[in-house]
Amino acid sequence: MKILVADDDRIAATVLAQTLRQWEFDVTVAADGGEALRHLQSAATTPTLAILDWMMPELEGAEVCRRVRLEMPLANMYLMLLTSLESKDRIVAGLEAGADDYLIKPFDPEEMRARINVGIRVLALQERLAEQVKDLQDALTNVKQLHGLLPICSYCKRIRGDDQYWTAVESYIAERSNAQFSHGICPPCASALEREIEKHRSARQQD
Amino acid sequence: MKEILDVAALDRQTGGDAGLRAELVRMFLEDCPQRVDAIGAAISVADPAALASASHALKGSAAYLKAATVRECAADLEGCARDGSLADAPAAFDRLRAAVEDLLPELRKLSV
Repeated sequence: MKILVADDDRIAATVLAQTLRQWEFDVTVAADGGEALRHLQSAATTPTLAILDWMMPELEGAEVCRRVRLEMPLANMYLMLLTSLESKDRIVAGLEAGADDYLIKPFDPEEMRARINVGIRVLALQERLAEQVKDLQDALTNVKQLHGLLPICSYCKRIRGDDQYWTAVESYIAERSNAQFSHGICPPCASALEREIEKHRSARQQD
Repeated sequence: MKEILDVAALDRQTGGDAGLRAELVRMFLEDCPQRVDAIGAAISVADPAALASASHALKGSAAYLKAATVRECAADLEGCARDGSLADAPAAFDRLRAAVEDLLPELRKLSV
């Protein structure tokens, strides 16, 4: 699991990054808000957890959250803000800017571990939902191919495709769906066929 | 009275990783004098933004080092800067310098 840590204070960044590495996370460190945003933009297609200090040069942590939600609304990112005890009033503003959670500095290791586990659970859930949406979209694409006005020969029942070729109805449907055909004969056709055979047999006997 | 340095809390913060503790102490010993100087310079030119920034930085790193007195003095200075009450800053700065003088020898003992 990749975690981005963004803090301009090297002591805070070191203790955060090393604690996360002790827990075997793959950690990247950014020294300011601009660098953090660039990392997140390049990781837009990967589930990512980020821990962002509020006060940073170039872009504050809350502004990074706001930009991520604005520019990458579908990115699967769990954003945590770090703020000091005296700045607890910022928590609401941070969550409204797009953060998912917050930690008070200096972080308590056990609390941070528990909150990261929540983040990982949310990211995994989002990932599974995205996979299911993709499966549904794929299924819808198949169904769509059988929609619309189909030109069909009223005599031989062939269908004219987009390529202008006339194709047997079985082939046409099989190519555009997961349906397969097993050939048989329905009772009305069987009765009609029997009558036709009987008619031929009678005609031959009369000859 | 807050503790000048809570070594047990520092060890909990670093997960008992002696290498990490030593690295944090080394960084703090390097950075602290510059930060104190920056705070002094900001007070002497009455620059609240610079005072808020420098004292916020010292407050944050002292908090991770579990140096409660220095953290508290830095927080007081940040409060002076944010409230615009720079008249109180020189006295708070004196308290900070005294706390730093107490703290640095304790940290040097850990870095041996």
